[in-house]
Amino acid sequence: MSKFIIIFITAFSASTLTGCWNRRELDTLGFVTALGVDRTGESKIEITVHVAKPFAIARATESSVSPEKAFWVVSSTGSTAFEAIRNLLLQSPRRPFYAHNRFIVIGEECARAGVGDILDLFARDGEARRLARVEVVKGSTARQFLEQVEFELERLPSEGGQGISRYVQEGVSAEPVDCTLNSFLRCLEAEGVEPVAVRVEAVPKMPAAPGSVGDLLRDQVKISSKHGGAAVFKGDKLVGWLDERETRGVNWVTGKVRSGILVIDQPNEKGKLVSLEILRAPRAS
Amino acid sequence: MLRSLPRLLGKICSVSKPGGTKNDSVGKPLSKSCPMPKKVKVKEAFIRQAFGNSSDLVVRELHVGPGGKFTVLMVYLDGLVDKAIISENMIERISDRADRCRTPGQAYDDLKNRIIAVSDVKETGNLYDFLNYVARGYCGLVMDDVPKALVADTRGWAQRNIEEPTTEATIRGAKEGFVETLRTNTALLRRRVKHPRLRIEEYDIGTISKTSVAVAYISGLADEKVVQEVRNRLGRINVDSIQESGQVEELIEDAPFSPFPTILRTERPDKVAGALFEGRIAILTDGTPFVLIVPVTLTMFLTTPEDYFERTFIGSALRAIRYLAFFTSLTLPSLYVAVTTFHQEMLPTPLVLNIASQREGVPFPAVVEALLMEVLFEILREAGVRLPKIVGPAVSIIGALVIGEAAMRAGLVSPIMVVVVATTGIASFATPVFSLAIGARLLRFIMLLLAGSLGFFGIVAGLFGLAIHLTSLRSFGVPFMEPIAPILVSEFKDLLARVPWWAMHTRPALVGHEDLVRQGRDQKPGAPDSPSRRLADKKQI
Amino acid sequence: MKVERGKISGSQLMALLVLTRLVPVTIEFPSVTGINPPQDAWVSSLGATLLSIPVILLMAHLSLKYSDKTIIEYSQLLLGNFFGKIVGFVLVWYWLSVAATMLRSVGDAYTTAIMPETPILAFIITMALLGANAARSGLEVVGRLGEVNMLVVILFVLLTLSLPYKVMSFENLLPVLARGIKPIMLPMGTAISFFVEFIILGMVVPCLNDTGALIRSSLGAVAISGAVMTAFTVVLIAVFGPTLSSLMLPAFSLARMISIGEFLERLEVIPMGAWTITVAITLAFFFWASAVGMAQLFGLRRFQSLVYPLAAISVAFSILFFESFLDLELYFNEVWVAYSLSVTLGITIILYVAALVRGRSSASGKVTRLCRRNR
Repeated sequence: MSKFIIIFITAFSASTLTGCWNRRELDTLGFVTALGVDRTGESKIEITVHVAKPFAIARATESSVSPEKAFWVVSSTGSTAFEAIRNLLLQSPRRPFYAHNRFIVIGEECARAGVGDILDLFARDGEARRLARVEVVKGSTARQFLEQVEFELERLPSEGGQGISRYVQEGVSAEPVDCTLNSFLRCLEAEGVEPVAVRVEAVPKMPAAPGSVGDLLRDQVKISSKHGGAAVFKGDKLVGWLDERETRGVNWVTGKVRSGILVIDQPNEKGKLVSLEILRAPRAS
Repeated sequence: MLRSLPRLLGKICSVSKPGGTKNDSVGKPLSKSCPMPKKVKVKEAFIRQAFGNSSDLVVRELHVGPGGKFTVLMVYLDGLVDKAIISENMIERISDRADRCRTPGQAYDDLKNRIIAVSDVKETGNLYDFLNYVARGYCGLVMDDVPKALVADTRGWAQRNIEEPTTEATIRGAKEGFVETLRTNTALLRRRVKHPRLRIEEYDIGTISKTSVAVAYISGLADEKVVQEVRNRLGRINVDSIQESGQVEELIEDAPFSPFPTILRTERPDKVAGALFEGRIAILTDGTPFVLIVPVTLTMFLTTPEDYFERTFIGSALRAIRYLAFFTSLTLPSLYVAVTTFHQEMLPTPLVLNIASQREGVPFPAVVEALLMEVLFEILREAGVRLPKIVGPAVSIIGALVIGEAAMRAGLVSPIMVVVVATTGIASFATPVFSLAIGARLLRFIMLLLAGSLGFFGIVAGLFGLAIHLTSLRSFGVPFMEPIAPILVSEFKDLLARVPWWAMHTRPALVGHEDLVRQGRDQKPGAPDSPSRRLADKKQI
Repeated sequence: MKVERGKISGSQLMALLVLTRLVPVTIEFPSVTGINPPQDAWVSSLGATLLSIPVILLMAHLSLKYSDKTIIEYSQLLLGNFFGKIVGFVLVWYWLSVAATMLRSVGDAYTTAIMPETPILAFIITMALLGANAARSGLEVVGRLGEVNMLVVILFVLLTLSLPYKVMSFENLLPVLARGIKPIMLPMGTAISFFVEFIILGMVVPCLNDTGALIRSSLGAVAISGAVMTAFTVVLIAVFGPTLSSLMLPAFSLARMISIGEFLERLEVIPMGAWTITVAITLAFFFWASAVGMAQLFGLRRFQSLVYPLAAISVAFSILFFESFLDLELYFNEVWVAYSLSVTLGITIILYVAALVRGRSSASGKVTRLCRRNR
């Protein structure tokens, strides 16, 4: 019995006293909620992240009006995606933590150049979430998109995007595709199937004032994002875009349509339209 | 040196005593087989010397026989005897009727058979026994020239009324609890088991305290081997005193170093009676309302009589909540620490951001914060139990303010930690048996340390270690984790859910195997023409 | 002279056998399959389950011939003192090495997937302590723990397998056997080599309270663990498709896909809890077997004092044998199959032949009588 106690104490102190190896207090972590990937010149990769600011959120609940943004946008570059992410540590006092990352946003140029090696990192890393959504920004870079995107109804853009993706996934609308990192990679690896990612566009919240141009315009006008359509890949390279109608066709073919609105001409009265709601559709899992 | 001091003093005192000078044997300590001396003066000297100059010793001289020829010494301890019995049934009758006898022997027989109007009169020829009887509240009578003595059961002292047990309150069920007197307690049991098969065996334990310990069981239901084992374990106790059944428990339990009690204690007669009917054995100790029950299983510690008295669904639901509360009180703080410091990915983003914003500015790591709050809570709880009832509320108000408000505002702890600790604290009070709750509380700190160093793995490892320990425990031959390990499907009737009484056909298999069947299978009630009633009635005819 | 007095029931034995299978099936097997294309992994696990049945029947049958003796004892009876002891030592070594690889693989799984900064020894020592502690309490306690925890673990496994239902697509399973049967031969061998660890049956038979249950419970164990293994591979393929082969620890990746009502997500603690419990019981079982075997080899009266030293040895093995997780995978791919199959099958066949020879030479002996009774 006494021997057992000695062994127990030794083991117990060995396991508790030598240090708390993997302990990460919440206030030492920077929660990354969205992540953007671009390719810059000299074949460098640029990573842009949204890091949530918990204290700003807390203050917001105390006084209803908070001028402070609830997130911090920061970018860093490196020769590979992993290096770029590691370089973020030099700028962030709180260790970026990717387990809550919900979006991987890819700039159009980067997507056209190929994303396989970048996404591979997120597939293999234990921290990253395989259910993060893969989105491609049409006509812009991911950095520009992430720096400006904001939703009126949510303090964190990722929460806003999550809200939209949620009902996309539920199939409220048949137009956008739903694409997680997992399904993207699955299609990438499989023979005979090519991946399709979500197309996002920046939509100006206010129409630009006439006369304001260039940088001024970018600084003043906040943008919101719009999901819809699809980015079509061949291999890991973006080859083109599908509009809403075409995307619905893709969804019909892959059996992903759950619901949505079909607008057709009224058969017996020319010039008038009828909206049909899809209630049930054959599903493929 | 210190230990021998009283004996030394005793020797000096006895030598200087005037009564002891005539007979040499008076000065010596009494041996167990000390014969009764003949002369009444010598007897008196012996008695007075044995009790020293205790102020509650009353030695009264009565004179009987023609012309008060013979002296009778009446010896009792004031406070332990019922004075009414002494004066009415003994002194009055002795002085009225004891004047016809010729010889001391005749007087002695008269006293024993005719005069003393007390139900229980015993005779002893041994001075040691005589003194023991007196010490227990009997009234002793000694006479000149008779080498024997009479002891009459005149015990009667102030005792607490039968009240509702304070530590085990129920909403439904009997409101009576055990008291400190053994005889009252055995009577409470007898009143619930009106059958001669209820056996109550009494032993005196403690070389000085002479505490009566009774073993109660229903013969034919209890396993005779277990009863014998209880007798053996009680028989090997050789200590000077027993004040509470807790000491008996520690001296007979299977696993002395376990954080879990392997003997159940209760102050509810209905619980004890229920256990007796299952074939278990109760150990009653004089001087305490807490009765021990053996053999027991872990699940018994989480049941209350209410589970059986309320209707089956309610009883089962209450029990399920209690299991949940027990588990919560054991692991909730450690789960919180593990999730917030090791597995942040498990929580939804809004919640994790919310917790992070609350922890903003808290200077301690979460483990330290949790430990701090838990210790603070334990101190408050302990203080709340010990404090006089008048200041109790004041302390709880201060405690609530200190823990709930000030510590939070001072930025020492996060609000969510207060919620966690408060939930844990309340959950630990839902465990019906204090000894188990306290075990869980202690283990909670170990779990907290494990969670703080190894996260969820630490918790699982801790729980599994606990499972190993619990599975290897036995209580008087019965596996402590039965019916979970080993799995006994027949006992699931009384595990998580309690089946209705009419379906409780058998006693627990490992305890009540002497007479397994509790009742017939025809007890399911129903309206007169319902299928179950018809079936049952048909069987009866 | 009995070293172990405790008795276990048939269902407890089955639970123990199932639990010993679950770790290789969920940690080691998917990571070593290396099948290309991976969608045929489930075929190989199904095939392995079926193929291992006759092997296990052979082992059970052999043990039943000497149902009051452990394999350590009857190997000495059959092969003589010297060769019998050599067989005994090989078996103890085998069990210890299995325990060591198991410790290493679970330790590596935790350090690579969840807690990379924690030293692997923290996990290995904790697990070994738990296992040794249970083993010291005897087979009875191990059996009881196994019985309950098998239910818990199976529940965990079902949760892990069913909760990511949203992301499964079963068309990934097609086409079946596109490249023929050749690429799945080696994985099938690996799977069988995990099943032949059932040679531990030889230690348990004298402790069974009903020897007739032996065949029933060992076949039940094969069926359950085979079903779990097949279901596991099917779900993995349905979720990950061809990307499966790039995953190091598919079970964790699978649990990361779980999301219950947007409240509980990434429940990798489920497989973690299940593995911790499973490995602890499995280790207890193997430590117990090697300690009892060792005690019988040296004629000791108690095995309890041997448990901690043996556990310490297997901890040392687990650190010294392998340099990294990749090393472990390499071991499973290249060494393990040959090692495990040759040790267990070799010993079983040698003993069986010896038993047949002896049985014929002493036709009226006790051996044949026992044999007949058990038929």
